[in-house]
Amino acid sequence: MKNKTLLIILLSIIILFVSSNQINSININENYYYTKIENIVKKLNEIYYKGIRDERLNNVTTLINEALLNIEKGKKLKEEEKLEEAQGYFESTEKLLNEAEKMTNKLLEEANIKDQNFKIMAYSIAVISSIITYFSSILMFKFYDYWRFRKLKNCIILKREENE
Amino acid sequence: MNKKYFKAEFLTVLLVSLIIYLSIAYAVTTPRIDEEYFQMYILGREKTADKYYPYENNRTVPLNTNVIWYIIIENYIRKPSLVLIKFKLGNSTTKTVNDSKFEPAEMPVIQEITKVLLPDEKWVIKLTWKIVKIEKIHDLHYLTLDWNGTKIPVNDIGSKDSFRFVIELWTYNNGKFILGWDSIQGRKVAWLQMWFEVQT
Repeated sequence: MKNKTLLIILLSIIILFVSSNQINSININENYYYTKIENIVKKLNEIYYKGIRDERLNNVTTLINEALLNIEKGKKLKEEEKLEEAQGYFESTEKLLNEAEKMTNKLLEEANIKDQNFKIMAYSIAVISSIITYFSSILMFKFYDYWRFRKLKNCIILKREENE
Repeated sequence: MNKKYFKAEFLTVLLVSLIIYLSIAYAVTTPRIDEEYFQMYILGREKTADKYYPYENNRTVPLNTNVIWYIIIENYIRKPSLVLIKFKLGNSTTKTVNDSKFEPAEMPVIQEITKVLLPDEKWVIKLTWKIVKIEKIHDLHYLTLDWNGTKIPVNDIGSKDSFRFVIELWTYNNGKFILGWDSIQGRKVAWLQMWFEVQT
């Protein structure tokens, strides 16, 4: 019984230690978050150029803008040396940015597939169109040749009839 | 001989058409490079380009009188950007923005706001401010500003009575915020200034 209580106390101390360490591991340097945002923005840029320009981009930027507000609040509290409160804001910033990054990665994957398919389609159409042009030019030439030959033939017949 | 000649001719048609169609495909799949810029402007209390101050045709602001401005920032940089807007307060003696050297105004910062702007996105910032208190100690002005409901003391802003707000646009680039933005056309800067006098 005594051992059990001791074990429970020990476990709770370990849990407390781990959770307090987790809080302390939250980065309260705003530049870390700005760099994280810059990376997400770079990905958003790629997504935008690869053809995804819908509401989902707005959803990501809403999350980032919310995170930016938290950074501003955290920065202010940090300046006032209220580190614990600041940590809370930076913690939620981290969460928001992680979610935004997750959404961005998903969108980027979709954008890459879309872009690849679009490129394949565009270049295939180009190749098929040139083959069609090739055969149609042959056909047109054959038709022109046939028409010229018929005209020539008619002339010869007419000339022959005239001579006769 | 004749057949061979025609074969060569048709192959030329095939090659030329292939080049033309592939060029079109390349042009369609490659993004175009347009002029890149941000647009920043200020509107008065009725969201028009007038009525910036409480009195008509006069930039005097009485104490404890609300002034409402709308700052509008539009992203034509053709890519999502992290934008920072800095609001500063100074007077005619304080150093303002140097466009050619990309140097910011040397004035006290009132507020900083950051936002990610998508291409063609319009960001409207509503500002409501008033001068709560003004003091002149040893030829230097000390103002207390009510800025969107927050009281901000602004110390030591020069000796002249003509004050100005400077609004600067910064963007995040390679790990730091820079004044203006980098584009294909080179570094550009956008900033605004609004003069006012305090009626005591």
